[in-house]
Amino acid sequence: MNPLIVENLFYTYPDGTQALRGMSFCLAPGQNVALVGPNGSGKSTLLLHLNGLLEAEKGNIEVGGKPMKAQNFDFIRRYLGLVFQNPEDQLFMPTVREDIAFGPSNLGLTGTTLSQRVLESLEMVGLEPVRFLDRPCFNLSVGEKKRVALAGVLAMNPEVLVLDEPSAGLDPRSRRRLIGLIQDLPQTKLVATHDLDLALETCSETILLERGLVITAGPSAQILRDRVLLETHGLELPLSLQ
Amino acid sequence: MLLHVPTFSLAASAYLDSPWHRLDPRTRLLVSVLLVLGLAITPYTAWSSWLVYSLFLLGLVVVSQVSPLTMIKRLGVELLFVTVLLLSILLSGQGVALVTLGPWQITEDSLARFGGVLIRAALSLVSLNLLTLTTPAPRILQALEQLGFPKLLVGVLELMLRFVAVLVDELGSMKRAAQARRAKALLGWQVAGSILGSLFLRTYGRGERVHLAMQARGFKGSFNTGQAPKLKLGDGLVLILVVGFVVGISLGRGVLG
Repeated sequence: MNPLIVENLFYTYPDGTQALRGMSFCLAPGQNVALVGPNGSGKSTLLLHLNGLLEAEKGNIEVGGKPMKAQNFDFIRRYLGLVFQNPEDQLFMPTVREDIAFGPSNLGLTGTTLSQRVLESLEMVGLEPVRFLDRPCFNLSVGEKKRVALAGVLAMNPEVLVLDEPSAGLDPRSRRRLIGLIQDLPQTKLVATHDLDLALETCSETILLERGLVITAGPSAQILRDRVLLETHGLELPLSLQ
Repeated sequence: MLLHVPTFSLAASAYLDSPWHRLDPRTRLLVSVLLVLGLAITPYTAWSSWLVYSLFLLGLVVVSQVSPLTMIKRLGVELLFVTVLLLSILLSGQGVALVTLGPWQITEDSLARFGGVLIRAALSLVSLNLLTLTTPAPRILQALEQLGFPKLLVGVLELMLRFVAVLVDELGSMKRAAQARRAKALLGWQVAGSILGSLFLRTYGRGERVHLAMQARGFKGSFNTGQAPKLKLGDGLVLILVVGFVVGISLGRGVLG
């Protein structure tokens, strides 16, 4: 079973901007897929659809074999974890501990099971619980905030991890750590990014979008080496290949 | 809360270690509310009772290790507002006038009432400030819920609190952006209007994004606070002591004055 199927998806914003114009693709289990495209290509809009946060005008989405319907939202939001681009939008509880516990407690976890889940998730993203559990969220560096936001989603034990611009605003060392983390995590992953070097290192497949359409999809090693294709669609060769 | 927006640090002394901090947030909340109730039922002329309450609250502030300067700063802002509200009591006196200010006069009775009510308000504020300075706001709301306060109301308060923080964040970044372009301390009406307008839009947008992120993590409209832990023996003893103190003062008022 494919963990995520998107078929012929259309979405227009209330101001008339057509963000998605018949987008289709699917993810195979365990696959790491990069979603690349210039600004305004519909990446973030698409990601909001995958969690039921925006309702498509037309088209189908299936997550974990279940269609995108309000009665399946509980399952879908557990199955597919969405990490937002700006961690400031995601971290809203006063301390790291409480923020990571927010998702699993919405799933009904309590007591020691919940505490254990929080600890494991924090360790998974490489932050020592002793130092970080009781730190106020607003007091962390951008890199730490990003990792706590990721831990908050991992704590829900998702099968599919969707990351929106995970390396935006990170210094080289934090970016390198993040790349290692994405490579190590066992989930199926969809990574929307402008950072083509990150895409090349972490994702075996790439989907290229422009103006709400899938332009092409295939192995990253092939798409991300095609200078003409990338430059035609507002991108550049990854720095490591220039 | 909004009074403190320029220096938005609600629970500035939350992470100290004192006997007061070791009490359960529910106990701290109940102690503060009991003291405010006790103060509310004290007649404004009961000067000896005010003195006893003042000493008790002073003792609590010392035990909690809250910086007196922080407490005084907060009280200063709050009392400014309270005093303006209480001016009507001061100027509405009947009887022999002590001072006459045009159409208004301050009499002995109105001065005593004003003083009594101001002391009552000040002591109540000390009690509530002690709670809010030492207990993070989400803990107070959690305590309210655990004490049986309606869940929906607590949820509304929690979201309001979160959005006040969003508002302050956005205002802070706009202020810095304006200062970086050498904005003057006093802005013209047009600029101030634009700032307020975009503050609303930006806060609204940010609020939307926060809400989406909450939904993405399974938020369905109510916070899951889990089961409340049982209160410890020490908490029970403190509550009994405070109830005894408030009742004792009320009953002993005849003797005290």
